Amino acid sequence: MRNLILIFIKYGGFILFLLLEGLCFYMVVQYNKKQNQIFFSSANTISGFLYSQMDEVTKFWNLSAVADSISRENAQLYARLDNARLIQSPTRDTMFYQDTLMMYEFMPAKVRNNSISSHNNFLTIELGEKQKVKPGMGVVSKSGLVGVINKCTEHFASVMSILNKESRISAAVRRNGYHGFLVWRNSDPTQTTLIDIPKHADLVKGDTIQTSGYSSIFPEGIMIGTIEDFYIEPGSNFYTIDVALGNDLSNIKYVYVINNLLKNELEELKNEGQDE
Amino acid sequence: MNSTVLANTLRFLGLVFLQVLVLKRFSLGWENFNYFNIFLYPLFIMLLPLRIPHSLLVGLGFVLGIGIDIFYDSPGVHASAGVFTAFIRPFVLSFMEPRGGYNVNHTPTKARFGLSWFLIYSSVLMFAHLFFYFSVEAFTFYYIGDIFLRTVSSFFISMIFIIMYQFIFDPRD
Repeated sequence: MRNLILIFIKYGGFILFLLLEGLCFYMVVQYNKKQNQIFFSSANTISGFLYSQMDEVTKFWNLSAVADSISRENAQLYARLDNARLIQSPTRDTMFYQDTLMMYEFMPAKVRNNSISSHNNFLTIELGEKQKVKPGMGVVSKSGLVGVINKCTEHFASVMSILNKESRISAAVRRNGYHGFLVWRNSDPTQTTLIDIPKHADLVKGDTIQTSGYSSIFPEGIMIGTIEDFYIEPGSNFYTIDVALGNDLSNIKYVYVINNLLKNELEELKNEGQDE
Repeated sequence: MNSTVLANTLRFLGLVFLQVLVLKRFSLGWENFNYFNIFLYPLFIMLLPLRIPHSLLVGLGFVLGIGIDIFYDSPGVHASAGVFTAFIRPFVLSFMEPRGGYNVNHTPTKARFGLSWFLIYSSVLMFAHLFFYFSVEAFTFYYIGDIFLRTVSSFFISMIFIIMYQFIFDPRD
């Protein structure tokens, strides 16, 4: 303690100098607009550099997993190509081939931020207005449905996840085509609820639920999950179905934004119908 | 002792008010060309007695700078320069120590050490002060040429006022 006091007597001026300069520096940066901007932009230059370096390293670690998923995805895509179908369904080919028109466009995007634990979950993806992403476009991952874009900035977009209390997506049972709406009620990130399926539909546990294609957001046939349980709530004419998601939203890294190229046409028709 | 405290308190108040009420307006008189800033207030740090402890000196430099900052609307900018100037004062003084050393009861004034001695002493501190101030004000060394230009132009005009002060008031111990 005595030494400490001696040190302070000897170097007090220097210690106080450092303390006060630190305080001044804080005040300069905190309360002066110009210096604040300079400081934080240079701080961002440094932290931005660090983050991008970190990203390079972790990217390298994840490389094998990413390569795996990409090759699997490639295989799936090859299977969907028209030349793959040509052999298997020649009739379909002769009937539709000449009129085939590109309707849905897929844009790959990296997931920047993701939440699954709150009531209203959102994702942030690295794709924005610059790439012509607009609110209302659908987002899927390689294994299923993810959500709908709800906000865009120049370089990023926010996606309202299907794990969001306000999300409402048209979905259908693959086997017989009965359709309803997919909502999220249970706060369980592995499960959603399908409502508005009429009482007379015949359902089996394990049936596949897919997108209906009735909305102009998602093409038909994107896998959502399987029926885990179904029941009729008292006084209701509709089934409530618990759907086990086929898609683990907690670890998605890459998603695809779906742009419906004919959306305007569809909306126009819909609006005309409402006008009359 | 008490008369020293009183004299320095009065000088503190006088210099702060002179700086913020008169010299500030004069400094900012040009549009887009404020290379001539008149800074007289560092004189307070220069004229503190020799026996003042280093930490008190640094603390007073801070108080002075904050006092100026309140009126200049630039929290911390003058204060950091004031702290810096106060911090280096003992080193400048020891560098300029006359033969036979200092008497701790003296004050570094023109009356005590002569005009040329005081001129060098105040020039070194004033230049350091201004350079530090304009560096913090610009907050980046990207404009180092501009910082130097401001420092030099403000230095000469400020020194004229410093010398005028010495002849008008002729401060003593």
